Amino acid sequence: MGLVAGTDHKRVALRVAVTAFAFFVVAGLMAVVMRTELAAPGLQVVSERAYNQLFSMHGSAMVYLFVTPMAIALGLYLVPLQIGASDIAAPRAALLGFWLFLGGGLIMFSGFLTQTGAGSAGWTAYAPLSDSTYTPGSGMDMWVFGVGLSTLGELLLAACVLATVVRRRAPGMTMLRIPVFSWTMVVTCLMVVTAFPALLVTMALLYVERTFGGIFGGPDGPITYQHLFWFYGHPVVYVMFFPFVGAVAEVVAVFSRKRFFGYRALVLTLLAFTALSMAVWAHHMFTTGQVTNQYYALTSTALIVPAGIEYFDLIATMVGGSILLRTPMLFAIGFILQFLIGGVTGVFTGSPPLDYHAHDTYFVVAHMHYVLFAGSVFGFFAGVYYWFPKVTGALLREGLGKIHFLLMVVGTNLTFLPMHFLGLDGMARRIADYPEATGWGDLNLLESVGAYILAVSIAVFLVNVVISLRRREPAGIDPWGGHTLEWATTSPPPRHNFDFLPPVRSYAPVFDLRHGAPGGESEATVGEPAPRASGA
Amino acid sequence: MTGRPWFWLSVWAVMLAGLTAGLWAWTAEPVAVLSLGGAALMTAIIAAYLALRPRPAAGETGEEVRVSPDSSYSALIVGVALANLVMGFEFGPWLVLASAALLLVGLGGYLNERRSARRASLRVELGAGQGPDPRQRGRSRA
Repeated sequence: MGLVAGTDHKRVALRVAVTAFAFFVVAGLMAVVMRTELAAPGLQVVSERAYNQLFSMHGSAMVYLFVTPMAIALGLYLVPLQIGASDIAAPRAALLGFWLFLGGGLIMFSGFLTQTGAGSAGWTAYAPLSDSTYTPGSGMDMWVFGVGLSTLGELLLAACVLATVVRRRAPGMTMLRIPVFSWTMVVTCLMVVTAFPALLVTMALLYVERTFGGIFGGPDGPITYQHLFWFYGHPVVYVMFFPFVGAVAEVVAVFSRKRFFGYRALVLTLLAFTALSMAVWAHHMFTTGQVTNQYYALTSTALIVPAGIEYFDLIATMVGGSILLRTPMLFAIGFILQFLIGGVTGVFTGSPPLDYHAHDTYFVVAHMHYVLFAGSVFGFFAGVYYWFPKVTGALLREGLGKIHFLLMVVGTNLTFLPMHFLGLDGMARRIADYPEATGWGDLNLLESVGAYILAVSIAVFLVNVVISLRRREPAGIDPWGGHTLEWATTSPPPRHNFDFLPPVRSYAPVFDLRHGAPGGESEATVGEPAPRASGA
Repeated sequence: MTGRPWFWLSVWAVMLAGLTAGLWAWTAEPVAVLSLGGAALMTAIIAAYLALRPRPAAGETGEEVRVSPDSSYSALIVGVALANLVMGFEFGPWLVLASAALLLVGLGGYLNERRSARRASLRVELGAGQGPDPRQRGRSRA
């Protein structure tokens, strides 16, 4: 019964993560079908109508049902452990969040069972394309309900994580001793709490528009929709990004055998980065001619500064370190290198003159996938390989992990790099076919081969998980020489997380136990009971 | 001060407020200004709440007995009810009514679970001659 109603934050997080990964596999298979359709000009693997549903549901599932909930699930599992809490704040709300997320996802996909098919207005569902005139039928309504419910669930989950940081920190765990990953979750949850309500309002209004009309029908209606949607839609990109930056930062520090470099600078830049990212949303609307391009171009370009500082911190952590190239570190390095391409192309699309050229082309598709797949998903796998031993008590196989990494690097760059060139050549996104005379066939074929390689790489990962769980290599408490409190408890952790807490004197308390605190204090060992210090 | 959450929330609220002011200077689009300003205001309110809420007085430990529920059927029922409730808008009032009834059952269950948790924490406090079980003892901090 604990399977459906258990409130332990670790079990809730695992449920969210497994469900989200299942949605990822389904959405990934949709991508494979789409790439098959586009492999050569003139192919008709699926109808144009089915193709519209496929790209809409692929994008929707990846954003609303995979990357966002997976990012929050990481926080739900790890933040209480990293800050030394015995449980999450409001565990019932977290459980409710999971059920709403699952219900929303199933409702969204149930659109395929309706006569008109699933939602087909893209993951953005712009008005008036998404109204009942241009996208009639129950499938689109299901999409609206599904997005609303899953977003409400994610909002609840994030609020629980934020409340846990505020209310449940261990003695000595001041805000400036919170580990890097948990700080990235704090800023992520702040964005969720302040931006996600906009999407709930948008979905409610869209349903009213589809049923009764009169909301987005006027001359300003489409622009109002886009403002409301992108006020959620841009911050969510960072919600899908920061937790994985945090995971990469932890991995880089641990596998460089060093403290994370520039902790305080990172905390400040995280706050600045997230605040700026709340104020850039209308760069998605440059070409409407209805927004203040100067302001949004300025804020979008300013994002380079905190991003640069974060990159500097990550690289400086590695400099002079004793680097261990295990699978988590490989994925972390993959994240750092590949996200750079996504980040730099973001500077292009954040500049109005360049965006006018690239808007709605495959260049944008390439940029988005370098951010979310080559970036976030690599960060996700860095985190999975790093924390899998803590969650399950078993190590993932290193050899299979490296094969998985290599296949993913090849597949990712083969799939998404040519999209830049196709986009600059004018290939529009969301098209089911293209004329042979365009000469886009070769690059599209390369992309399709890349997509199949990616599918194989995910299969290798799943095989690795199954083998590692069936023939377990025990991980012990701390197989990597971790820095943070989750490595001071058993693998997997008990229901109440900790039997004993080591003293917290910095953002890397377990590292301090081995090497001494920054001030030269304490040489206790992991597992030794610590005096319960009074609060800071 | 920098060790407390309200400080960092305030910093973020100030940043958002500054960006809102900049936006306002460029444009008078009400949806844009209100969205960003609303986010700043919401963060400022949460920060103010955290800063002003009562904290344990000097000499008090601030520890409280907290009983964590192992399971919650009410959360499951409320989740299922809400999902069905919105589906009812598509499939008809019968589903809305049935889901509303289920929602009431779930909320009733939630109140019952809360009452049970309160009783359990009272039992822990009353039998706390040797101190509460450390697994059920938490510390409220902000």
